[in-house]
Amino acid sequence: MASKFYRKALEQVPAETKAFVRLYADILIRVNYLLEQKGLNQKGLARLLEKNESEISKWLKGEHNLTLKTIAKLQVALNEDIILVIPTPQSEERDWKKVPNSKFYVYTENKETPTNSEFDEEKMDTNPFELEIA
Amino acid sequence: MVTYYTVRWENQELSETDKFFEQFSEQDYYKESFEQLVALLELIGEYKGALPVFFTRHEDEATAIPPSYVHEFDLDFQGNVLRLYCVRICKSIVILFNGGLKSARTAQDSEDLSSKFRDAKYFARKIFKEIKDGMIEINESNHSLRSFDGNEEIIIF
Repeated sequence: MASKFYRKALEQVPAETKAFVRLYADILIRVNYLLEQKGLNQKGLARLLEKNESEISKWLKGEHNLTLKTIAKLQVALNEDIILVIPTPQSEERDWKKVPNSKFYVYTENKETPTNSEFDEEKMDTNPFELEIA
Repeated sequence: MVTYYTVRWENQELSETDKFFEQFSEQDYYKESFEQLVALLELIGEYKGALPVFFTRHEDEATAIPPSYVHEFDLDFQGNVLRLYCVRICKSIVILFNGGLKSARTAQDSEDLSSKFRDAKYFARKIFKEIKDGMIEINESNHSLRSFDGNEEIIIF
C-alpha cells in the first residue's frame, strides 16, 4: 500500500507487535492446516484437549495470548510440531582423548576430574556393584 | 543420543535409579519436581546430549540433576526439590545413581538424601578410578562402556 498515512501508521507499530502478529498468524495457519489434515474441527479439538469449544474458538480466532504451555498442549493433542526453534550450534567439547588408530577415548585431566586427594581406597567399602544400561 | 547407565548392588534386584523412580513416581506431593526431572532426562537423552551445562551441580565426586538454572536454554529448576545423582562420562554417556528429596540446605543434612549422596560418591570414585586404570573403556562413537576385556557386563569390586 502506498498511502503515506498507512506507512506512517505502520512505522508507529512497535517491531515487537509486528513480530507477535506474524508469529500468531503462522501458528494459526499451521494449526488450522493440521486440523484439516486430521479431519478435525473445533469441536473435535476441544474434545481432545478436554476444553470448552468456546475457549478453543478464542485460541483459533487469535483472541487469546497463546502461551508456550498452550502450544505444547496443541502439539501433543495433534501429535505434530507447530513451532520449531532454530537449533543453536554447540561447540564440540572434549573430555576424552582419542587413542590413535582406535575408536576408544581415554580420560584426560580437566576441571571435571574428581580430585583424588580425599580419595583413600583403604577406607572404602568393598561392596561390588554392576554397571548396566538404565 | 545418550546412553544412560545405572548401577546395581550385586546382591540386589533393583538398580539404584529404578529405586528412585519407584520411590517418587507415585507421590503426588513431589509430582511437579519429579516430572520436571524426567523431562530433563528426556531432553538430555533424546535431544540435546549430555552437555556440560546440564551437569553443573557438582557435589564432591558426584553430580546432581537438575541443575539450578540452565542459562543456555532458559530452564529454571530452582523450585525443584529432588536430586538425582549421576556422573557425566562424555556427551553420549551418563551414569545415573539413586536420588532423593532435598529437605535441608545440604545433602548431608537431608534425611532422605544423605545415604544416597554417600553411595553416589562411592560409585563415582570407584567408576572414575576404574576408568583411569583402564579397567573400563569408553566408546564414545557407539555411546557405550565396556570392561577392559571387551565384556559389556561391567562388575566393579
